[in-house]
Amino acid sequence: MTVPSDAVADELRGLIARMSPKNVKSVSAGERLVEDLGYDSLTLIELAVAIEDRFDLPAISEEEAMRIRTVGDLERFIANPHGSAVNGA
Amino acid sequence: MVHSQTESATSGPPASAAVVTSDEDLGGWLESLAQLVSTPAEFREETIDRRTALDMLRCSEAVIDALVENGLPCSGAAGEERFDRWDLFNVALYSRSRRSIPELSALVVARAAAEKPPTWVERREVRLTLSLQCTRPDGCADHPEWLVRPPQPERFDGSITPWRASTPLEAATVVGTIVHARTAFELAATVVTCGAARSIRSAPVRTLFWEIVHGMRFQVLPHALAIQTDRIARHGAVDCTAVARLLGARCEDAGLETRVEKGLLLTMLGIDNHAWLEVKDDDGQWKPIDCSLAMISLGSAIPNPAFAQFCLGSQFNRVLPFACPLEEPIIEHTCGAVRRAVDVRVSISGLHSN
Repeated sequence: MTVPSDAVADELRGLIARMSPKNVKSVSAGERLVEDLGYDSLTLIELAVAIEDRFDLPAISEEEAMRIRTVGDLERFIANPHGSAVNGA
Repeated sequence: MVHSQTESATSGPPASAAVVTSDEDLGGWLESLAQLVSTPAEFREETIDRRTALDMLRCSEAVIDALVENGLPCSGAAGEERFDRWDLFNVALYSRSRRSIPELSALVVARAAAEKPPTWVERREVRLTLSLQCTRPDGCADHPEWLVRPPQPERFDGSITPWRASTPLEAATVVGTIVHARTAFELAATVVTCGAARSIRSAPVRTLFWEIVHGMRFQVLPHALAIQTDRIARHGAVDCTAVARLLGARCEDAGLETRVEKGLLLTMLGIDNHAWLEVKDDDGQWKPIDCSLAMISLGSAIPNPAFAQFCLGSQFNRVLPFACPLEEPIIEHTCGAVRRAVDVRVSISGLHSN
């Protein structure tokens, strides 16, 4: 499994926490974006745009976005944007 | 993409989500304002207060102040302004803020258009859930009636499972017929949509399509304006309904048969009401022509000319046709003998494509 560097992971987690509708201070890999962190479809799109801008990534496709459920899924995605984002997929 | 007066597809975050803007952010807003084709006086609805505007635009008070100072039409005293909903939506649409609800709605369409062509036609299966609620503050008045027009996915080679409705309703009585219920309820179904790549043979239609796509500006419009084709030609801005009717009128002048169709655009953000033109081409086949989606793609930060070409004759797999008269909403609710706005919450999940 490909993982991002600690610095990248920290920056990503900070971004996810800051943009979370629940205004959380920190997030962990296992937390779910929707159920645990309060993201909805609109804020998920906003997060995707912010991540693409910050990490200079190509646009996250609709299908990829729908498969990303957790903070860890996002970490794996930015470490390997052309591979699978989801464990076991 | 249409914002109907009786259906609301998305809801915004609280105003507390507004952020402090930078000078660079402000530049995008003011540039958008300078290009705005404002809603004509007789169609204006200056009913949106500052807080609602902040929700829609997801910007700071400073942006609203700057827009007002630079000529955004409004009524009311400073700090208590009332804005036209269409103007606000259209300023936000081209603001380059990357945060406003209109801009994000267009962005999801532009991103789908920027993907590889096979993704426009592949079979897609989604679980669609519609949560419907009357927006009357005290709940439904007397004699509540609901009508959900029936979807027609088979028209685009798709399918749909029987709707399941939350109790106490039976879905079979809700979709396509008037149902009497003083309650909020949910409808859910699994929808399969398919696209198909086709081209238009008729040279006049191709010419008219590109003239409109390159010559008009995409904005959302009040429905009463969108259906006045002569007025729209002078107005210079079109939404999906207006541009379908405008192109239809010009194609008919050229001797072709046309019809305007209606449905929903299924996106990552939920649903948008949508309309497009269908033309009987020189080969005798009826084919869709979707100027508005072409304009959204070409007007975005990630324009895709190949997608615009695709919109000339092809069917897009994000479109779900409905059997619905153009003048009527897909979801209709009346209570107290008054047609009411419906709060439509949408959930789309479980995307499978192949």
